[in-house]
Amino acid sequence: MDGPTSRVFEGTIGELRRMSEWLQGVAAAAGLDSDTAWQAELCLNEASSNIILYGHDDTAPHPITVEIQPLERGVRMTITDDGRPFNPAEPRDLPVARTIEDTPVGGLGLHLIRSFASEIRYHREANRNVLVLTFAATRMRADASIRPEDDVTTFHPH
Amino acid sequence: MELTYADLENGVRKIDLKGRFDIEGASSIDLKFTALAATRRAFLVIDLTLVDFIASLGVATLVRSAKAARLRKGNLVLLNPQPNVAKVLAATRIDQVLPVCANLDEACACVLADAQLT
Repeated sequence: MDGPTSRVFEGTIGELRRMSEWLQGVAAAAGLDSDTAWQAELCLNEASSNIILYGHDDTAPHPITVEIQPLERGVRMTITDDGRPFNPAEPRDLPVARTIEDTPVGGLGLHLIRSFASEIRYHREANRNVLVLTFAATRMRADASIRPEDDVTTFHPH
Repeated sequence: MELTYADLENGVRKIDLKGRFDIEGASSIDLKFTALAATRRAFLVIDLTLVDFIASLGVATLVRSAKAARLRKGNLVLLNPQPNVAKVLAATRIDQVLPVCANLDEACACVLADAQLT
């Protein structure tokens, strides 16, 4: 796979596993290592769950578009939705809990995205949220497709 | 997602989870899990050996059940998470507030450690 590939999913809970299966297939075709593919799958699951559960005032399904762009070492994933403006890249520290009683139940998904994505970008475009997540691979399969011009040079520290 | 359990002779309730612990998986076991974890004082070992994926909603289910167990003076520990599951537990710092054990003997000792004190 040389260029980007994308798919539009119905924004429902039932679509989340189809998203994961599609991403796994794309990652395998791109020669992405299993660890980086897992990070991308987890963050896609978290970002999409957040859109489906909290992104809209109505209960109707709204489309979520996912684009995957293989990089020289890693992958870039763009998630677009028409939900209310929400920027996952804004800093939100996970509260420090010393006991299980103090541990928050919510907000963990955004923290996972910030933990496992190498870079997070967000902007609004035509009344849509555009979330761009980059995952830097530590290794690529020998037969992986390579596009050097797409390499990523800046990363957020974890 | 599959949930099975066994009440061991030492008083520990061992709950075995299998499959993807994402929002769909969490929803499918939530009622049964809550009933097993929160309806009486329980010392729970949650075996994660066969959980191959966990998302934040799965973590939230574990946290809610642990809170409910503690409320009844019980306890909950996690057993043998696979590497990717362990990474999520570490990233969410759940492994700092819930014991994570590598084998059943250790898990039983850990979950029963405070039982005599309460």
